[in-house]
Amino acid sequence: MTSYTFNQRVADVLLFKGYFIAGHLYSPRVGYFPVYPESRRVFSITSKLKLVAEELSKTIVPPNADLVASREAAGIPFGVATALEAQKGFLYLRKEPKQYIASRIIEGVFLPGQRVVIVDDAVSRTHDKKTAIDQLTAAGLQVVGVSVLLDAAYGVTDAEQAWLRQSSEYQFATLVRWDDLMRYAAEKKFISAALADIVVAWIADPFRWSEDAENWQRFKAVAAREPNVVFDPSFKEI
Amino acid sequence: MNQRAQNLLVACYTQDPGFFAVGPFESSSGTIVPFYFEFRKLYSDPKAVRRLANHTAQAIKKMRPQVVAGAADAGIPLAMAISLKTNIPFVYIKKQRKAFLAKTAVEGSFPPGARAVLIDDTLLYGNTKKCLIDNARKDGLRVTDVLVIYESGGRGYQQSAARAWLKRQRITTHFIFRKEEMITFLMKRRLVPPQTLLINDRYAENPKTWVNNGHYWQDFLTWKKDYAALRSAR
Repeated sequence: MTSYTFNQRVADVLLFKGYFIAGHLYSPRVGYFPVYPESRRVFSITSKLKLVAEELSKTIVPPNADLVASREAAGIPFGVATALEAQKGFLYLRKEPKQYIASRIIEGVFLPGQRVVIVDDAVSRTHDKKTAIDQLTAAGLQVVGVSVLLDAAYGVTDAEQAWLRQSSEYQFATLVRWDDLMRYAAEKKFISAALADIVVAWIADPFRWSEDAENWQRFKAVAAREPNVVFDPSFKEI
Repeated sequence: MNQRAQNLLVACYTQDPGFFAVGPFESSSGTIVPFYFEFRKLYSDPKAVRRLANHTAQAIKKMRPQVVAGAADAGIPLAMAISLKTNIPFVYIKKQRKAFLAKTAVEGSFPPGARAVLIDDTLLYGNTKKCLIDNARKDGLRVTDVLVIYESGGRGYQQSAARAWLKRQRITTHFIFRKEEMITFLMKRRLVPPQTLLINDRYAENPKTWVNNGHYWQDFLTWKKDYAALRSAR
């Protein structure tokens, strides 16, 4: 079951200078980002982090979960803060098993059959959530939910994402969708409507958008005038 | 080890049998470890994490850091709990710089040149700390203090090159527990066999070669049986 209503309280704390990074930022899965939402900066602003943890913990419906689990590394700070807020135990998942002491993927104490909610900073195409669920399930745990701060929402209607987004098995909760956040940021005059439109178009089809050199040039001209966006060195490469 | 630390240790020990992990285990540096304290297990208990954070909050404030930096991954949960308790901003530091997006080793935000306390679960040879501190420095974060849940006072560790480097850099190390003190305390309470400190000392004196001594190894195996008997008797 998916639960999503745009969380304005969370959106408001994300509108700070430093959250949106403009550049020509490469990621192996999505290609080049013109604007990247740097959710990691949220956990350096304690008041913002506390609010996000509070909202994430509300998505963990008691008494339906015993534990919170997060993947290394960016998910762990949000997971810990949420687990402390919700007073749940915490586990973390390594990307690679530790080769020494005790070789394992899952760090923490749990009992077979315990119910787990995965907490993460973001969800994009859902692949990494599948991996985490498989690892937790293989260890005898029961995953009941996936809660994230930001839904990057690339190709949300794609059939390959339906297993999570339209799941009857997992409670899938996101606090804000990225496209909604961009529109909201424009409405609040935090960024220009022109920049919001560009990013929303990019989110709808990142690869096709990136292929068109004119898109990048228009983005560069618009972004350069934004007072609340910070610039990665790669911005100059556009 | 003061009374508060003792209470904390007993709570850790009695709460979870996996906390005192009996080997032999192979460590990251290739040594064979007879036993160790698995503080990461505590991260599964929100009360234990809070207890650790409350215990360290005062000491952290005295260091006057501008950020609390967790060592990825094992230091992140405690660093986060300390940040929430003290309202000092949180970041984390990775051993490996990200290969894409913003290519940083420090994740989070901080003013350039900010002073940081680095938080991790253990301090042994200090190689990991050196690597993280170097990475942080390149990103403009200055680590002035290191705080770990436990360190070993064993000579093999204390005289390492990385520990000497930390001293030269005037980085102060702090710990909640010293391994040898924990062992002595648990021995007094008869929670571990009387030879536990001896086994540890032989290991800590020469982590890389103690297993080659047949006599030491036999003693370890005997100790292991004693520990199992002690455990099952309770």
